[in-house]
Amino acid sequence: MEETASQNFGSKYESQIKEFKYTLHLIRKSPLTLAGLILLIFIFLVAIFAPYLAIEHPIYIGGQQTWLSDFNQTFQPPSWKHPFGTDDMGHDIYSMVIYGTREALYVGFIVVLVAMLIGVLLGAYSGYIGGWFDEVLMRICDMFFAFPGLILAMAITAALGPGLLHVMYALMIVWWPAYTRIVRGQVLSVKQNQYIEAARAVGVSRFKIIWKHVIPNSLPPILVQATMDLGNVILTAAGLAFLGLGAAAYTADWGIMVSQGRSWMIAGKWWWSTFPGLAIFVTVLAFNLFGDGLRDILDPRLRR
Amino acid sequence: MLIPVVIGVTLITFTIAYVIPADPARAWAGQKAPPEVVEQIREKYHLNDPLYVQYYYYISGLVRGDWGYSHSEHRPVLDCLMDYFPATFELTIWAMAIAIPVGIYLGVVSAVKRNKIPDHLSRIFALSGVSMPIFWLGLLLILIFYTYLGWFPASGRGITPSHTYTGLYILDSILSLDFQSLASDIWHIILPAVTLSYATLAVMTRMTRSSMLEVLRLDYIKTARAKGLPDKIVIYRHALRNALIPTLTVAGLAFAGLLGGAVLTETIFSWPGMGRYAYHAISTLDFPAIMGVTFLMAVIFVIANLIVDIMYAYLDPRIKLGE
Repeated sequence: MEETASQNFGSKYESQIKEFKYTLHLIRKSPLTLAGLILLIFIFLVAIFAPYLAIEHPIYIGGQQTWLSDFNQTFQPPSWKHPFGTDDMGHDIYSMVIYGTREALYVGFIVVLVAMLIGVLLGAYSGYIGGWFDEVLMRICDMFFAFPGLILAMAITAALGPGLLHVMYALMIVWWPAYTRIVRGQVLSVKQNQYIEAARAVGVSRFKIIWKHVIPNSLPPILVQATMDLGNVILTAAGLAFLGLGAAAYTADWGIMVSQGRSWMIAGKWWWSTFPGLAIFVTVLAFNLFGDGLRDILDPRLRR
Repeated sequence: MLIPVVIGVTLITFTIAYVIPADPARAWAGQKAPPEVVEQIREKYHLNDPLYVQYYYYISGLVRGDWGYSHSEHRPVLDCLMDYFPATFELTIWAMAIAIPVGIYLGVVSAVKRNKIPDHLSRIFALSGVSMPIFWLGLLLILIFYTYLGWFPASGRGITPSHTYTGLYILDSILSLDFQSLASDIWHIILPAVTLSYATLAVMTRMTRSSMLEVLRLDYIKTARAKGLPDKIVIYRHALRNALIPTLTVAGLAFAGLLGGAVLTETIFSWPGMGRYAYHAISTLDFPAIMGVTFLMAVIFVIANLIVDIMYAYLDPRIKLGE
């Protein structure tokens, strides 16, 4: 019984499996994309196994992340005991950078997923029905595009009050219009296809057409955008944290760590800012390398 | 064209300033303000009235130059912005002056030498640029060129020129023939301008590369080559001019990154511009100042894109404005 089920699966999704295998083949052939993918896998593993990789561990007091201080170990340069050195309270910077991976990925994924969800729903609906709703929505998006992203996020976070959660809200508000516009554009071009017209002719409901036919067919460029945006969101969140709008001081947040170590950098105690900054750079680079390659690979014009 | 966009901008800044905060009067007055002052603000900005009335007073305030009171500086926000604007303007102009030619040049080289070593190098350089936390780059440059090598200063704008006409130190130094301050000012702007330019440079490189690749495939390029024109002329005179059009769009959009980056760069290099003002405003919870910077930066960005639209018409004779 189970055998037939798996056979059915194999034959039903045969073309999808073939396409997926071909995509993997293309990724293997592009060195930069492959490098991005390997880096991403590495970063995810670090995030998952953070408790095993770190030397010191945070404790949570009333939900607030706290790292125990050791005043005999302040400002130690990198050594075997403290691979990335220690800060002015004797915290092990290596451990904080490792735990910071979790936070960075968490912020990136939540913000991009929510922005994408809003964008897909609004963009698909607006592009499909058109009319005044579409017109108004596009003008609202234009208003958002008139702001430099970091500046808008800065103002919104300042209005909400500093804090990681508010940074995430602000980034979602900044990011949704871009998705709305991409999805809408995709829907407008997918809508022209004959199979949509055929579906409408046989009486499929509007909701079902959008959900089952329009959205799946407009997905590839949105996924590419999302991959690159994961990097951009992490970068912008780090910028906001650096400005003092994000996580609290002495928590495992890369942006705040660079910010706290900043004044010591000039004095030659370079490790406090350097390693968390490097972590931001490598993570964002990995998403960009992979996203950049994915764009070429998923582009139907360049695919075959 | 400009006016509806600016009205859109005010709708968003109004929402952020008046609708989002739990108590706008408290936010505008500052966290440490006594209750009388908060009440005064509530009266002055009509915060007990319906929102559309508040919006009316907000707009008329903006137009009259009442952008709120900056309690961290104990003077009106607009005064502060006027003081700090030239420093930011000078920095962004220099960053642009580095990013545009270098970015276009790297993009052209990358496209011409496609899939060869110069192409790989410039692609990695460009991808690093869009992935680099700008504040971290600034810190690294300070560490290397100030702390270890001691070649460049790490903070400030340098010696104030003996006469100030525009507030742009380098231009003022030249105009007042003050060569001592000119040298000092150029010395001071190099590190921050390089820091700020990198991301934009990277974006320009990527865009120039991809649009050059498209153009180089076209028939008229083959014709030009077949005629026996030298490579340099084909590339720079025939191909680049057409490839520049999409690059220009990106330059306009990249200006947003430049303004956002200015906040971070100015903070790192203690550059006395609007960005550092915004940073201080954040740390002192000076909300009117943050909103002032936000509004002004959005207006500058809108104007920058307007300039790009005008330059289109110059670069592409097929596009005529106003049609």
